[in-house]
Amino acid sequence: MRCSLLALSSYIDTELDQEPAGELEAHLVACDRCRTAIGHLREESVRIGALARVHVPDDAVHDLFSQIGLIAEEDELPEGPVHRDRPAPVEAPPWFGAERGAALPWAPRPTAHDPSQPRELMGERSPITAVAEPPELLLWDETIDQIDTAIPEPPPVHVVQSPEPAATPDPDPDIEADAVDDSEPYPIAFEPDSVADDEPSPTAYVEPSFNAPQPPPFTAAAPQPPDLSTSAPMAVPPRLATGPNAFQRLRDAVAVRFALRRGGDADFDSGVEIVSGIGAPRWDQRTRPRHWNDSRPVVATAPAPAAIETPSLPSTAKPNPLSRFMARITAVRPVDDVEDAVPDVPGTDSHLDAAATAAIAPRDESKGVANTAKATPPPELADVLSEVASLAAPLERTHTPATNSTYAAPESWMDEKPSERTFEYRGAGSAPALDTELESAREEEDETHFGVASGAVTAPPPGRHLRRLQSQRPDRRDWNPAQPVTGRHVLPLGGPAVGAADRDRRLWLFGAVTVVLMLLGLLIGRQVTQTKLPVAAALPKATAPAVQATSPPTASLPVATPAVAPTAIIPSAPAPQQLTGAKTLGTGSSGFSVADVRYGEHPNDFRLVFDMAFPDSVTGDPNTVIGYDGPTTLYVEFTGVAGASNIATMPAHQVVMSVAALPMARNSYRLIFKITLSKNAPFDAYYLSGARLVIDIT
Amino acid sequence: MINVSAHIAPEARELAATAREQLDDLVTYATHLVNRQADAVAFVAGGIHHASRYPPARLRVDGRAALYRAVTRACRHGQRFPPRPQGIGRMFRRGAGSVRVEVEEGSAGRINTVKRALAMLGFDRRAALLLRDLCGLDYHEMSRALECSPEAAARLVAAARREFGSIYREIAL
Repeated sequence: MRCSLLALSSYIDTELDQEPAGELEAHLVACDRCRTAIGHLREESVRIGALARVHVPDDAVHDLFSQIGLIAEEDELPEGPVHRDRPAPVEAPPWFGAERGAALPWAPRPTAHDPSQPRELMGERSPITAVAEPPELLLWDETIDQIDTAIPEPPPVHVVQSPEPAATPDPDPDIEADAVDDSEPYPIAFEPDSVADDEPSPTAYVEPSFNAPQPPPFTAAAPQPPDLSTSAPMAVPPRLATGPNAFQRLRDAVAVRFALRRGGDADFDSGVEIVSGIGAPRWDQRTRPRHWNDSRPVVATAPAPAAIETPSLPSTAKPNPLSRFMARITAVRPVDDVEDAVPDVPGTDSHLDAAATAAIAPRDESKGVANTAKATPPPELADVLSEVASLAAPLERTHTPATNSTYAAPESWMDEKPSERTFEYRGAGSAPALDTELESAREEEDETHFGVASGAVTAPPPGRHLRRLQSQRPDRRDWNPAQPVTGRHVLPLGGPAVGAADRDRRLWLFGAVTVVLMLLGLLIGRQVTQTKLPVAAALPKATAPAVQATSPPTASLPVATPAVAPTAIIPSAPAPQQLTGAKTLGTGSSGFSVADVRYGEHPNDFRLVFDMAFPDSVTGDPNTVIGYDGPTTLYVEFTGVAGASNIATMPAHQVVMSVAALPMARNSYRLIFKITLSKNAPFDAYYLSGARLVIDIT
Repeated sequence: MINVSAHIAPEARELAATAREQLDDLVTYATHLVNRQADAVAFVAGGIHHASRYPPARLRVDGRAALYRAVTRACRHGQRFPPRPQGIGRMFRRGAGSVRVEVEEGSAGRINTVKRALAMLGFDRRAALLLRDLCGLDYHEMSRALECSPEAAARLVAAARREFGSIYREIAL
């Protein structure tokens, strides 16, 4: 049971089904948080319900309807509203002293529909949905002497009859007498003769029905309404509170204890579960969803018929010890399964057929009442234990077949039903036959649609999803179409869902693989980035060769340090101080760009020409440093030059091997050309007019 | 002579009976939903008028939920009866053409803390809360009145209760 806000709100609106409502009530016993939340929700509901009402008088209604056109002006109004008392949407749990709660194993006593209250077209609750009347809390003024100490009748049970043919039930006078005794709490018409001498009561109270908190009786005398036609005074019957007696409260407490005990370590087969508080599974108990309970359903019945000893099949799933204990006590298989369990196998003993017939017979209501009444012995210890088991049985999370569904209840492949198998084929008396029948039964089961019996099912039209189901692994065919579609039930269809992360180990595996891949990616990426050093790390590397190169001629010059950040950004570009034979030119103007570089033979020398482009507003020349960095490498460094453009590549010459412009640092306005010569030769440089740099290499 | 009597369809009697039975609850619901009693009557009249256009089978199937749906739609979209003139026509309107009925609103017209907290909710949540706790509709009826699924109606009621409770506890101090 998921104790969410939605569940609590639906609970106080009595919109929850019986089973989740019972689980929620059991959860509310020990969860303070949920009790507080449900108290708040009830407060809000009461506040809204207490808003003031508006009443429209009849004449106003007539005017309104006539203006709308529903009735003519001369017509009479239709029948007036029938004021009904809206049932309180709150159902108190049984441990509050209510006469019945949804957690109790027996159904509410059917109350006759009051013809004075019109039936609504909508919102008509089905009898399956248990909606109890709002209990009168703390009105239990029953004294200790008035508590019924007799052990009440156990709830009705299905009895597997002996193989004698079912006869027409004849009314048993003893049973009839018992039935009359049981109907004592019901109202009895007071005879005028007996009460004529009593003191007349001005307000004769007549209680039409008296709901005693007892299990449903087998037969109940119809309550006789008091004769109101006579004016004879009637005595007011003592109005006792309808609280349960001590034994019933003890029984309820046992039922709740069973629910709590089982809720602690059981798997949940429904779409809801308790996620907090007592009864919630621990984190390691939410492993894989199992739609069915492994334990056998415990059913309380009369003593087992003929006590057939059954060889047990090897069990694949160990049932609950408590369930095994209860099953040993009861030792009778469920009646509802008998019809399905007894096949039409030739060679089966006749007493088995009779047993099956007798098992089906109690389904007839007219016969079932008499048979049940006959099979009710005086209460003994075994009966009390059976009763406790019957209390626990509805709270077991065993699958109950959906009777109103078009699908029969699918059964899990993992479920073992030793009693069914052995009970069926004991008459044959041969183990090979048993195996054969088991195999054939299993094949039949496999031939059904996803665990749904083909005989009782309206096969859904084959679609894409169904074909996919058929092609999936067998464990994915546990999908139950009768169950509500929740995240858990969607899980076998399309793989792990987001909400089922704690229930599917594949998600954990996927997460682990993902984490490992991320770590590997981090390590590999770190190694890759280490090969490409950052700019700051490249600074010493850029200056180190320059220092070595300039050490012979300019040993006394100061060595550039990495603090000279702009110059160090350009790799392998020496600082002007590091050049040998450096020559400085220019007037320090800026706004130039190198338009072209030319070189060629010139009389008496070899000439290089750098043509500058500049706007008209610029005068002078850019600062230029020309010097050697090495024997044959000549550097020309311009300052105040934005860049170079459209420099045509000239072929290599005998003197100049290559001319290359080094990449510029951003916004540095420092352009460096690296000129590789074939020999070390002295040079002369100067600017011509128009900011044209000429370098003559001798 | 021209017969000026209203044409009364046979199924209009069924609708009139259902509306007569639910009229008090409808006006109460609309009053707390829009917080204006005069508009509430106009909206209820508009809803009933709209519901009179429904097929009779829908009324028989949905019952009172059809009326609540019509009134909810009328309150949501401001559909009054008679409809207010739109456009330039409202400039030439003479007087108020709304339905003139006198209702006994009692204390429903007075504002209090609960109604103040209720007015702070959104329309859908306010409608869901009133339909459930004031009018007593179950989730299936609410789903038809609010034109959603029963599950959505349940979530709407739960969220509305939580929000209403938090607002109420905050302003009730």
